[in-house]
Amino acid sequence: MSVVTFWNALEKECGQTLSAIAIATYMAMEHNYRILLIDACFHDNTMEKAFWKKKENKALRELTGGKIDISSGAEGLISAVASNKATPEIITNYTRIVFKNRLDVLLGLKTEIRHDHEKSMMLYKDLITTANKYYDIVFVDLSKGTNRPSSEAILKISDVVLYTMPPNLFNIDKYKELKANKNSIVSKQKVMPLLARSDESSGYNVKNTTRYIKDRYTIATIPYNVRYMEATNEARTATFMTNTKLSKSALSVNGNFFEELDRTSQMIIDKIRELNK
Amino acid sequence: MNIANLMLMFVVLVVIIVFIVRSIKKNKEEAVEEPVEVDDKTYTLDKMIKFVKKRLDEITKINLYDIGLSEEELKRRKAKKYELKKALKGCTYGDVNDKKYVKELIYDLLSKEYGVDEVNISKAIPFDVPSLLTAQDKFDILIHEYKKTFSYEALTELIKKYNLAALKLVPGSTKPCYVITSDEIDMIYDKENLNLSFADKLEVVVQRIYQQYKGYSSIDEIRDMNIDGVSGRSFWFTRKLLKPSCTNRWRLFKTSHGSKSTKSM
Repeated sequence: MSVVTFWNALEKECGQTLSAIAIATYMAMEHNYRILLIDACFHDNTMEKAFWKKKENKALRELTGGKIDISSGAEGLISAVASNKATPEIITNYTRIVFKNRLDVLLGLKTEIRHDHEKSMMLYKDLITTANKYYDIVFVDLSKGTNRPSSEAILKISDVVLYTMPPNLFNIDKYKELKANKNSIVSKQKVMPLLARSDESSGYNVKNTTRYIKDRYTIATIPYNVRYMEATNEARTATFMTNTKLSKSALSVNGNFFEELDRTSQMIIDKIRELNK
Repeated sequence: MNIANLMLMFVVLVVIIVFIVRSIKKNKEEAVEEPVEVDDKTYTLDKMIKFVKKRLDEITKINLYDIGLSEEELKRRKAKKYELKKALKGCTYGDVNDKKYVKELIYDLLSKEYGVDEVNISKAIPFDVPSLLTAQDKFDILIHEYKKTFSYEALTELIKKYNLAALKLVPGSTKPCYVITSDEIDMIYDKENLNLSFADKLEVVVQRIYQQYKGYSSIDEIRDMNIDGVSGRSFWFTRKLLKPSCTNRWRLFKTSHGSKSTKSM
């Protein structure tokens, strides 16, 4: 019953989508939560590629005469939302299953026109609110950047916002600057910094970054893990996460990645509980 | 013929067989797409209505058991198909939400499959040449634009702004009556000087297709407005008892505003 949004004020690559995928998959595996992961990014199929290989259903193609399957995906769901027909059950019909009854993914809009995307995104607020009635946690991978009315509306209704930043000074300074500005959403209590693709050997590791941004507690992080990156490129994310968690030898290699995932997911749960008190 | 020659022949034969099998397989996979045949009449309203009817029929009659889906996928697809069928049925009874849903689908079908664009949309309704627009075209465009601002109060606002709910004496009639004439619609259209985007034009076309396919014809949009009611008479009845030039007539009553008007086109 909570909306957790991943967002960054700068429109630059920062490992946001992969962080959202890692946390949502891990929490679906480890906790008894029903989770929905929503791809709300513009013209980005990272999430689809992380879970599924592009395999065309030949039978469906033959039956539809090679035409598009009009009533599927986020486009179909947007039509339902626009006509006040979106119920929690209808939303699940448009999602794709990763773990049955645990993790569903709503893939992003296919449009390549920014104006059309923004127009449809204005309906995402209602969609997320409705989905929130059915799922325990709704994770939203939001388009990066500011000055988008749709993004602002989604950030407003979010229970927790994970401000995702890569380990570089420019991004960390931007976070500090926004946090100091009382009119900015980043200054709100519901915003948590998340250091994506962090490395212990880097100067901008978790401890140094925490000290630099003057946070009281060690900030949340998703460490850089080459095996995880490969898995997301090869549509093996779910297999990687489950197999690695079960195998002791694999866990020893990827131990730090899973330890930090565990800590971050626990921090999110604690934050949700703290804000819902 | 030595052994080396025989082996070479064998290799060549195998290569040829593999090549033939692969090309047959490739052709089988490619041959399904049916492109929309484009001619002068492709983008007329009649052709578009035929296309929409055919596609919605295909979507609702698709046999999901033939696709080979998993149990959960099949369940979800069946639910989606049922939802569409329900909407197609509900919109004929005047359900506003079902109407919106079906119109969204028609919009997607026309823009994504049928290839309606900024240029060819004028073949359905000549948006760029106002002199070719009929009174109904102009009224549909006006209502669409007013609906964006005033939602279901669009008609009321239009009548109020141009003081259309006034007694008028029309040619061919001996008594003054409440009527909105096509001349008034022309005048309002000229005064409004609307600048329509492609999305707006397509929405007007979608509404026109919808009202002919599933809706209540020319009164479809008026019926949804916040008015007390619409009353109409049949074509022949109207021609016999009212006046020969009338083809359709409806009246609407705004008791709360104390005004009363009748529209005839």
